[in-house]
Amino acid sequence: MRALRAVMCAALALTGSSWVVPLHAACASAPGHVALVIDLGDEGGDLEYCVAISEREVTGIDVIELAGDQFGLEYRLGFGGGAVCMLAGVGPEGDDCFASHPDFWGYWRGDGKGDWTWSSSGPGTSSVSAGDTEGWSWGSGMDGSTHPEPPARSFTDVCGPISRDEPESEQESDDPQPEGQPEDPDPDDPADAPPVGEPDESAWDEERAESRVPPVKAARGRAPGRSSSHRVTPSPTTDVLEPAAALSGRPSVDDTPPVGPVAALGATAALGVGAIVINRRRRAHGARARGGQ
Amino acid sequence: MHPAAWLVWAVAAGGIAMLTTNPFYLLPLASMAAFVHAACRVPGPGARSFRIFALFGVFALITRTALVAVTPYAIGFDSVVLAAAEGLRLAVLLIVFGTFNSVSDPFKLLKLAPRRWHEPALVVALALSIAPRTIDAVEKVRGAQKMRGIEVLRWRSLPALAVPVLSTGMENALTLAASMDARGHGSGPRTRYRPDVWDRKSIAATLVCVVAVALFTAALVRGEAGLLVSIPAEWPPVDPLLLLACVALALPGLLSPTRT
Repeated sequence: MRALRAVMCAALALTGSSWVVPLHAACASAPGHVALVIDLGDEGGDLEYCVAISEREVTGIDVIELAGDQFGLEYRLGFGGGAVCMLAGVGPEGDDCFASHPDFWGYWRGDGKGDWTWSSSGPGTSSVSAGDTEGWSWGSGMDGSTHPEPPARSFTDVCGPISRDEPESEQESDDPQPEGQPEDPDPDDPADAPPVGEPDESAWDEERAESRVPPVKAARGRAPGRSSSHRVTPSPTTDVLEPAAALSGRPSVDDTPPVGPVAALGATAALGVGAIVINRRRRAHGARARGGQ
Repeated sequence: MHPAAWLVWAVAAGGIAMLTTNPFYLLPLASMAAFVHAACRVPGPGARSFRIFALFGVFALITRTALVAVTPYAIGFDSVVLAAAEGLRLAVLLIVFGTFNSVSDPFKLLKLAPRRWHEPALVVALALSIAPRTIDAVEKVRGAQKMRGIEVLRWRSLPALAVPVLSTGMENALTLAASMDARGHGSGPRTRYRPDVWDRKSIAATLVCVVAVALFTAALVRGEAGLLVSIPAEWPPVDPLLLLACVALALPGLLSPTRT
């Protein structure tokens, strides 16, 4: 059954059809966020995006494209769409992603705690699911031992302590967010204005908007030609221990007792006790019947 | 209850277990099957085979989890949870099958099959009844060994047990075939002695089963979250209606006057 659904979802993704609304919703049953860290190397600072994904499994390329949709990240894919040539204005513009050799975009997979490993598969075939951390770094070096690593970022550093697969509630995403202004490196530049209604903004950001210290990592320099609006998340030195607000919208976690699971376990226990009682009664009856013979 | 109603019940419970890996649906299903077994079982080897199936279920759950947990690759906690949920699903399937074995006689189902499909149905009935028949044979051989003063040990006497059990099975099959031939089986219309009737209980149970399966199918088509354990692992949500559907399958157990 699951395989069938996967096939249907894949067919939908291939045709790109959005008219099959119920099925589309079926495919989007496990939404969540992926942390995307882009290290511009010598060309600038680093960018961090908390990308909302609507499917159970996407590829590294999908994450880049979603970041483009959601945050206006500038990118160019090459080699037939299976490789990343340019991100945020850094990298070759053509289809040859090695045009600036020895510099190229290195693809890293994070462990969610800040450590990176050189990806063993290309971004077109990698499997990314909610809660993963994806890294891209610009530099030279053909493998993980020589290529510069992206800066150490955990999933929480980028996305805040929001749940890894918490579905967005409507009112949160519709809320125009004032955040982003304090750390904007160039407030006069309209291109750098924070995008309105970013789909991944959470209650966490809203609550912390005033208390946030200006991040130390705010883009160290602007990449030439980069005009994409982006969000620079607070540095990990700021405290991130405010889970109460993050869990709002998930009634069954902390604030209220989870009714469904309790009911399920209660039903299990009731039926189990019923089975034991009946078994015992039947056994006693059988013993009496034998004794009476 | 009518044997066909039991078949519907087993297909419904098993089908629902196939559709979900959510432990909050699977655990009530397992408990429900145990309840039905307790209330409706027909004393005999079939009823005794329930425990074997339950043990197999636990074994399957542990094996399924262990196979993932002890692989040399770096596999996260999530994969182990997913494997455990699938193992639980397998265990529930086995328990439902054990219950079905203990409450109904596969050969009664055979009688319901149209004559044209008699032979496939016979094969199915034989396959369904293999566990009860084997348990029956094991008990007979054990009893005979005990009477002859042969010490019955757990593992050492396994060959001494297996050979007579297998030969008994073979003999039974040959006897059955010979007797069917001798009676001209499958050559004319069959008569029925005390035909099973569709009483109200059977109809009610069948309706409940159909509704339960329909609810789960609708949830699957709608793409409702919580049918399958998702990654990253966390407690899946529970739909009260679906939970009720799982529990409602215990209806045959509630309706049946406890037989002894």
